[in-house]
Amino acid sequence: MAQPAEPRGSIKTRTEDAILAAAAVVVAGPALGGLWLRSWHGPRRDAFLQLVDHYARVLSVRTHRIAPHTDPEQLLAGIELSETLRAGRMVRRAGLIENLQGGLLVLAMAERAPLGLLAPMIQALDAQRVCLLAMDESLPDEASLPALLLDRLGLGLDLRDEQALWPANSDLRETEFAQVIAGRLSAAAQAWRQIVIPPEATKALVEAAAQLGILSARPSLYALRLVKVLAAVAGRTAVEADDLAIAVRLVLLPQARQLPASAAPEDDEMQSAEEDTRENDDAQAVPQNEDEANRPPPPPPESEQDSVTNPPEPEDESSAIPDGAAERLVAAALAALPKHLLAQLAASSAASRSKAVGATGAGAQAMKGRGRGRSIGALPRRKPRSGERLHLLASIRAAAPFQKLRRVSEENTDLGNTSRQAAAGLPHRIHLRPNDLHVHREKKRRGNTTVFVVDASGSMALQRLSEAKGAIEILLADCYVRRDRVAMIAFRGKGAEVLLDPTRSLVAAKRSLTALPGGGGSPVAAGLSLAAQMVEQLKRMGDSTVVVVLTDGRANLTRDGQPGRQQAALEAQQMARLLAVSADKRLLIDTSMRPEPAAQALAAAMRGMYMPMPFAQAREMGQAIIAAQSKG
Amino acid sequence: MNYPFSALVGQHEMQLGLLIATVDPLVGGVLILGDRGTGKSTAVRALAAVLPDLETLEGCPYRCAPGATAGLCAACGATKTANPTAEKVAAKAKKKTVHIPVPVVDLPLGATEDRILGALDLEKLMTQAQKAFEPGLLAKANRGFLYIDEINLLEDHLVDLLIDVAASGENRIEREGLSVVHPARFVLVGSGNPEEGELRPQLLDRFGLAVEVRTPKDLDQRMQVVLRREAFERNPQDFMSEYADAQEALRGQIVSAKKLLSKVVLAEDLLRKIADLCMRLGTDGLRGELSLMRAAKAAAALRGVKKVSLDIVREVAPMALRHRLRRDPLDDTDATVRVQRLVDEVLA
Repeated sequence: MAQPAEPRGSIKTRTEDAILAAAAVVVAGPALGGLWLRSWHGPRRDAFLQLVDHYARVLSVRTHRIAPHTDPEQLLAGIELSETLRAGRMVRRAGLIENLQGGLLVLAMAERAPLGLLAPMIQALDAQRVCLLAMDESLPDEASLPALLLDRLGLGLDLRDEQALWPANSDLRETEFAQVIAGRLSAAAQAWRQIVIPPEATKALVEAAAQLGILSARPSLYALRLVKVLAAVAGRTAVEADDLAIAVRLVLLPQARQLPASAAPEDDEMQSAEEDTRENDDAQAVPQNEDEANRPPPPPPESEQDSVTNPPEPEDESSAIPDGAAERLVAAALAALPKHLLAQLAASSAASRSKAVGATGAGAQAMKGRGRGRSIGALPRRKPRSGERLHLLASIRAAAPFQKLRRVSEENTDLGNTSRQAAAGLPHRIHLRPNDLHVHREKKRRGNTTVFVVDASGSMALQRLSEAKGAIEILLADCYVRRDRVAMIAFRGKGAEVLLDPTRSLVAAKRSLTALPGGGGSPVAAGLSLAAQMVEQLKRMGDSTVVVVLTDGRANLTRDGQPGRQQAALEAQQMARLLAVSADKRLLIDTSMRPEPAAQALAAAMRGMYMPMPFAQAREMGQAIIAAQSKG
Repeated sequence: MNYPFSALVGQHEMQLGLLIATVDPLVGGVLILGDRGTGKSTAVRALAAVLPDLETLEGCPYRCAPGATAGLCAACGATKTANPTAEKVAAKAKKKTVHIPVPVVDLPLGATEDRILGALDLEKLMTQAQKAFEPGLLAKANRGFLYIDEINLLEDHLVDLLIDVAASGENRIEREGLSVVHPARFVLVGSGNPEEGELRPQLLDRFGLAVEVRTPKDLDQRMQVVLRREAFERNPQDFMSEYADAQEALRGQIVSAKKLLSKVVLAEDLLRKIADLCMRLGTDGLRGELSLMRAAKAAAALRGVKKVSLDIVREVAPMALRHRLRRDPLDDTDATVRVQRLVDEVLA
């Protein structure tokens, strides 16, 4: 695999970073929390996991791999139900975490893991009893791991960019670097805790964390520990500048919420990602390297939804600090990364911020399926899973016909036990078998998410836009009461953007709405298509969805931002039909001055309710929507 | 071993809030609002170490207080009633008073209803065909603290359970043929980031105090946080002994504050000002006044003074009131700012 565009140095650095990360989780696992491994399934991830396994064997560190559908009870000690039933006495089983003895728990498809599974892990991570290697396969536009877990995973490794990594067919274990490290593991495991970090180094790391917009204290602590581990793995007793740079790359950058102004190329990306409505959508374009150095630092990301109570104060700090040690450190760490990766990092750090709103992705939702709602009967279940409630009556009812038979058969096979019971004057115990067990079948209450698609184009006169905003605010209040989640998509200019990922936070919703400017073309198709994507994601999480489109329906831009009314209208219709099959309920509010045929046609294509709102008062409009929603 | 409470850096409001709830549990729970990694969990877990031990009857699963006449579990309560059976009196006679650490119980997000409320004891049922109750986390937290990290992400049906128990002080289980009531009086401590989802107003109301934690803004404090934590982890014993005096002093302060509390007075003119403040903030009901008054008294007791002064009220007003403003869900003016503005005006 020839990669002429890529400087050799960065591939080497990234490969070595990966090898060091593997060494670190094995040497100091629980002290580092864990590793957030972002990667698709593929030979490179396999190579990395093989290396981790190899190192784990060298140090006799236990590893265990689990899938996201693992029963959370397996993680903790508990009763071995079927054994208990069979033996007639309590049989305990040790939990997975306990069994690992400070080893490595490998969680595949961590982004799909329900919160119920993550919660015991988080507790174990806080107590430094386990090291979690969480494999995250989420797509860029999907929910990643919940923030409360990410904060506890010290290391982050991104293997998604395959161009800047080791060749696909190479075995990492065979590399010279990996072999050298392998030889130093056991010495490092002994030595790392004793290594002393000079105060300047600590200061530089803490400053670097502040510059990267990291609010939590955990990453700084993890970075310090990693620096020690790195020095130990290198066979040194003193910390070197290189260790710090690696720690910044492996610990701080994955948690970064902003990149310092000095790391130039990505500013372009980040800005355009945020303001692509104004600047037209060159978000995909390769950043041009012309005059980044002279660019002013990016403005505080006002439009971002979650900068709410915490203005990005580290921004001010970075300018206030005269000492440039941290800046140099971050710059050095960034310099080792290829340019396009920096751009990605910038985009993903911005994205991860918005993901932090709503916090839990698939996990929280998936978990909601169980353990709520009312019981509507019993369901046979040989092995009740966690969150399921045993339906005692049904279980005993199922066992009842066999009691006599079982007593007899037990007397035959296990005389001692029964006679002992009889001697002790104990009543006959109920002879339950795993086959008898029933659990409560619960009617699931699914989460509701209302997705607002707001036309903010120039044809929506400013006054109409503010009326639409008013209607949304009323709806928001209603969603708040029902504990529904809301998401918001706006389209104007050349494309559509997600203003707000699904959230329950009204503050965030309100803010994103207030910040919404108007003007520009009317890419209806782009807006609807983005809504359809979001609906798909929500459906995968088990949510039911309501899509509320506020537009006059007069599309004049196609999905790729080309002008042309006819084509634009056609595409809008297509997208509307797509929504018709994916969203559970659909509603179109015509915001034009008088009922607009284009909007009516769009509502028909959506197979949704149409509601003209000429001169409507925001409140009436909101109430009409509520009425429509409850009608279904 | 937990990080010492007295070694926390720069989270004065949170520390004060927790101490107030310790001195006077009637204040109600403490809600900690703020970012991740700011020491919320550390603070709550560290609290246990500075709390004076509880007196309790040996073997009581609910840790009933020896001298108490109300709020006892069924077993301990039966011995106090007019007509105790001879058997139970005998049991009581054998029960010794013991000292145990105050329980600080973690309620993890993934916890099931069974684990929180308690459930039918499967072991006893299966092996002895006996219907017995296995106490849950609420029972474990009786007379102590129940801590819920990320409380705003807690499942709605679990929130409902908590709201009920926190209000009544007892846990009633009516399920699977069980009918059990046991005392569950605890200080509810919740933490979360309001950015990630709001709390139901009913749950908010159960908290007496709402404190805010922020990431330290100045670099030296951030350094301190990291350095102390590192020092603690490098050598916990040394670190603990370094703070042993401070911890002991804090424990002493709590003990004497608890004793002093009943003697603390709040002058009428100050009470009037408090009422005025709450009225102008438009807090619902009288709970604002009550918790502000209680919190101020506890804060005074912590300072070792018998009279609540104006600046004590000023100090605790934000935490007693910021979560009680009548909520316009769309008004995002920071509640703290609104409270502070009026505090400056009314309590000038």
